[in-house]
Amino acid sequence: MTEEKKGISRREFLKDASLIVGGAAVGSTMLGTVAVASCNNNNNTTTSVGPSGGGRHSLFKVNGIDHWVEIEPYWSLNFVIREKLGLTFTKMGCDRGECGHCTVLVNDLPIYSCMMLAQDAIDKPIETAEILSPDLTNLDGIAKSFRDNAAFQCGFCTAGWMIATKALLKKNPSPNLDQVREELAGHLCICSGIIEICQTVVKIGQGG
Amino acid sequence: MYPFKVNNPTTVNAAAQALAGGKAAIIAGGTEQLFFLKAMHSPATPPETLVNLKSIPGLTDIKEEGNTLKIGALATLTAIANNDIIKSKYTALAQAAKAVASPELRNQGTIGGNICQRVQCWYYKADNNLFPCRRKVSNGPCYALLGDNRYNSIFGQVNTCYAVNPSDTAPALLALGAKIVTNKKTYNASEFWSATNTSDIEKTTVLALDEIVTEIQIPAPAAGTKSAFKKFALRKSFDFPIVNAAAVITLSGGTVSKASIALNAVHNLPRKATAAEDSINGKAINADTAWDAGVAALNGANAMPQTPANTTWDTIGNKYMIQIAKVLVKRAILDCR
Ligand SMILES: Cc1cc2nc3c(=O)[nH]c(=O)nc-3n(C[C@H](O)[C@H](O)[C@H](O)COP(=O)(O)OP(=O)(O)OC[C@H]3O[C@@H](n4cnc5c(N)ncnc54)[C@H](O)[C@@H]3O)c2cc1C
Ligand code: FES
Ligand code: FES
Repeated sequence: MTEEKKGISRREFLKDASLIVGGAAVGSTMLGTVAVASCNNNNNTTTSVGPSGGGRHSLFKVNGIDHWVEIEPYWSLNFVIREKLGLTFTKMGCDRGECGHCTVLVNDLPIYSCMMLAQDAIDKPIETAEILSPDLTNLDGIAKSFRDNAAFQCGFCTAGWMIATKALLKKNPSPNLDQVREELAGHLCICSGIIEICQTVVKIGQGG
Repeated sequence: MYPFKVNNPTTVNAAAQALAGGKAAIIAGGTEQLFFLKAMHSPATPPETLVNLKSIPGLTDIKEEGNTLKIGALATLTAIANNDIIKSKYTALAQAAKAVASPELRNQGTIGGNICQRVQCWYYKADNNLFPCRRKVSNGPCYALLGDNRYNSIFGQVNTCYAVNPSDTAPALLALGAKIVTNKKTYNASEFWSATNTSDIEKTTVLALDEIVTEIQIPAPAAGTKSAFKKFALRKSFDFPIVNAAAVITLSGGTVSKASIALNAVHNLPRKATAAEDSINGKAINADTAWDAGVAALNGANAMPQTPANTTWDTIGNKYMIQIAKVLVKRAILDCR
């Protein structure tokens, strides 16, 4: 379902949202609407937050979809992904580069989106955990294994682990446990077991 | 974060001009700068503008030219840790880069930012200037003297500050005899870090406000040279160093003909351990001679005073760092065999 069908056009949404400049306080109900729309948007059409192209809008290529967003220079990439694009799988944990919950891929490399300015990700390919589960009946192998192996408890850290796992497996398709622990060292899980998560990643590499 | 502007210069000169007014600050990878800006750790007005060095082309190259390795200041720690030339010939630097923080932060963090980063002391870094310490206000106390000093200096204070320089790459560069090139001049690593830079108390280097590190140059090691880096941290996987050490040793005919050893996170500044170098020079490397050098490296080290004020806390002081540092020096030397 698109936002238009729910009676709020993106343009209107943007107008409202941009009234709250610097907006740590963009309304969450509205964001919920966008989140559903973006998350289901599986085909490669262009969605835009605001009038597309040119002017003061910058291009964010997230999960293969072009988004045009008017950003402030001091916004973090995490803020744009979560609060402007409504892609809320990526979490905000510590906001200090210490937990890995905000991890996304930029140019195929895992980075902490809390520690990167949004302006530095303009025009670059960005991947978030949404790409691993376009909808709940269509899980990618990584997301499926995390679910089947219960490699999470509350799930708050999971998107970070999963998207970093995607980058790791691209580099090293079947890592052993030591390699997984080294490559995913930048992720904390506060409530389940880190070792179970790492073992799951090893399993994924071994084909299941 | 507060509303700052970002300047994206395309030349080093333009970046320097943007910095000259004093109301701007550099951002490279941003992993340290954004940490401090988010924390609002200082009572001083935060910078109005961040000058983004990433928009300047040509600062990320890593190449060997003649007898010199040249590393652009914007090269990421991942690029350095994975570089084959650095891994084989400048091993201590590759190991040090690999030891910094986590894979994600190494993908973002640069070597320029790593050597220019601010000191480590949790009182100093605390959010919202919770502890207006000596480093930030002229009559402030050193809270580490009064409270928890388990990760503070074992080589005394500088300007009454017991914070430590936490850079992992700094001791490797110091031991490898690196030169640090800026838009103004070229420094030997041994003169690059300073605790008395009056232009900006936050700074840990001699750099002027509009001075930018552009390149790091390392002379090729002599034949028969090996190097190694060792780090001790609370969490092995992802943490600032409690102590780190680098050794660069040239062997000829089974004995040490040249030794260069450095420590960091033990003092306000990265520290060259000349007594350790003298100790191992001319000897064969074995567990005993390496240990003796470790002991020599820590000559003059002292645990911080434990005052009545902090014995009521569950403090452990920082005496253990002396023992750890000796062992790291020993292990770094043994790895150079
Ligand atoms: C959770 C966490 C853990 C960390 N762990 C470690 C660790 O284990 N070891 C370690 O050494 N560091 C650690 N760091 C610190 C930091 O991430 C690294 O030192 C990193 O290399 C800094 O590089 P950067 O490019 O991100 O620097 P930035 O944040 O962009 O800049 C750092 C500082 O250097 C100045 N600067 C940057 N580039 C230049 C230049 N070319 N010329 C002049 N000045 C410049 C900036 O003004 C700023 O003050 C950690 C940081 C975090 C958040
Ligand atoms: S929120 Fe970015 S690392 Fe914790
Ligand atoms: S599953 Fe809860 S923090 Fe990891």
